[in-house]
Amino acid sequence: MNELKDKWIQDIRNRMEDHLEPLPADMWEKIEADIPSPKVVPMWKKWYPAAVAAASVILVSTLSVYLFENYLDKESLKVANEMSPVMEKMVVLPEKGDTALADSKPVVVKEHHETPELDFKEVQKTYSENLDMDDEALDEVISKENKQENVILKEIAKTEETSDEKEVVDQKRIDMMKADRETQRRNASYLAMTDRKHERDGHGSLQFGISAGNTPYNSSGNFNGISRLMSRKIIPQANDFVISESSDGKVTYSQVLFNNRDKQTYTNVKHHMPVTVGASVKWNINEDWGLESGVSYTYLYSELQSGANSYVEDKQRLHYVGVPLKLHRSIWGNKLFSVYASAGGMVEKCISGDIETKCVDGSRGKSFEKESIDTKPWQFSVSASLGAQVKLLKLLSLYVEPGMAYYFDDGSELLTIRKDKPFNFNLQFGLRFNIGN
Amino acid sequence: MTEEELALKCAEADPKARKELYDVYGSQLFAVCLRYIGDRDTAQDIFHDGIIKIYQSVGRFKFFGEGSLRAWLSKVMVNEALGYLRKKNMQLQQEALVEDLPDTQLSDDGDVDDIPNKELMRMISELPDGYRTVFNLFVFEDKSHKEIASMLGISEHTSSSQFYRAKTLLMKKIKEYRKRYE
Repeated sequence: MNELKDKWIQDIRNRMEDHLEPLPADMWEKIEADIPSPKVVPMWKKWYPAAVAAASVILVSTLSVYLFENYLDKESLKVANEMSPVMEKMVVLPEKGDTALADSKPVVVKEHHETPELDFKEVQKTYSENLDMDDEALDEVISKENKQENVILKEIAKTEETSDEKEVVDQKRIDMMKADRETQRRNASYLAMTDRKHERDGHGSLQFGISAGNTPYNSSGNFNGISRLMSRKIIPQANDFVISESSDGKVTYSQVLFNNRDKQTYTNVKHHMPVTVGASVKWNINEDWGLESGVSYTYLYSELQSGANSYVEDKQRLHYVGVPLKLHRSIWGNKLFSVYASAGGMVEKCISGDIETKCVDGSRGKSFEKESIDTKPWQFSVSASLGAQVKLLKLLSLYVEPGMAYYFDDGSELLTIRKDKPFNFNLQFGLRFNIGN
Repeated sequence: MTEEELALKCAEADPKARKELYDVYGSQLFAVCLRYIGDRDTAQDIFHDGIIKIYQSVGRFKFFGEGSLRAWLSKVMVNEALGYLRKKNMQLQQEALVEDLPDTQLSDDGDVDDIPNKELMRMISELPDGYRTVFNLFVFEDKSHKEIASMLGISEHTSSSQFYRAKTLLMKKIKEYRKRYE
């Protein structure tokens, strides 16, 4: 407008401004197919996944307590039955040394029933915090849109001034438009969030993670009879006694067996909570699927006390290194929070282990023995879990994965929590660092 | 349906209203798109995206009397087209070859009534990207060279000289057309 426009240019403008260009025949179909589906997400939909997740956590842990209790009772009976013939065999073994009389008071066996518990409150708190954050993000989007709207308003107002068509807009109409805009703004912000979801879950992005996890309970049981953690290895065979008596530990142990031959004996086994730490790499194949692998370390610790007044104590430590492989499927997510399901398996190899044995022969003698475990079995397992992840920083996410796992029999004579309870529930949590995208 | 009702219904994602909006304003918006983009295939893509953007943001439209919807729609479409052109990293600084330009101005022809719309559209489309953008903004959006300069990140001088060149090129094309059909 700074420059006078030539008449012919004005002409072009007047004619071309109203010019209609025939639309391509199939254009509408294409557009119709590409219009994003309705953007208003009802409140129940927003809360639903969180509710489902919370409910599953509660279900999983309730079940785990229930199964744990049931399993324990059955297992104790089973082991006790199995052990009694062994016991009978032991007692008729040839005796050696003097037969110190023990008093008939049986060892008091403590019951370790430490009921496992997931911290529901903590989990629920995390969920609600995430939802709060969500609303903040929403507000942010809305205020941004407000600004944009102001700009458009100004521009339109400017057009109005030039066209000399200033009209007083009646209040009713403004109110109506306002209410409508509010809805639309909300829609637009949901839309914006969906868009961002796509940005976030870029194809092929990598996440590195560190994690810690455990089966959130220990296992303990007691039964009648004498038993050992590494039964087949340490329990002396009839031949051993005939041929050699080299080890002090074995001598004392057979003494223990002998002393208890006519007594009521008890065995108490306690498997401590397994502890797993690991590092992982998660590859997001696309926005829905991800593959995770890495390396993990697991520590298993079990204690056993068996006998009566004369008794034997075993402390077994096992170290495993494993490689997990998990497939993740995203269930729901927004900018900050995501829920996913995962399934996979793990191969673990026992890399070292030792067993510390203490034999107490009544009041007469004690012997200590520590030996490393030569059998280093492979342990295979499969697992399924439900994960929840919250983005703490741009590059850092926190996740928690309650799940269940089944451990296959490793074929060794080692008694571990995994043999005791092959099917169990576990809880893993950790941090993921987002690399790329 | 009035403009206002139409906009409201579209904002509510009413499929019928969307179709009506498309039927009423589609051709015109497509013309705007083509006028900016030049290439018909690309213009179709931009138009497609622009219409979807319109459906998504029509809730922000404020009615200020008859014609305001049309103005708003065309503004959205122009922005969509400009966004594409910016992305395309058009070389606005491009210099026209001097020999392309005729020596004389189009003398006394005060109007272009004899040229069909279709031909005018073709001529505008054939302008180099930079010229065409400045021409469109200056002539159709009533932007000053100062505004155009800040919108496109060029100098005011470049904007006015590109406009001048666009005009000269158009004149040349009109002359050629007349010569052919005289």
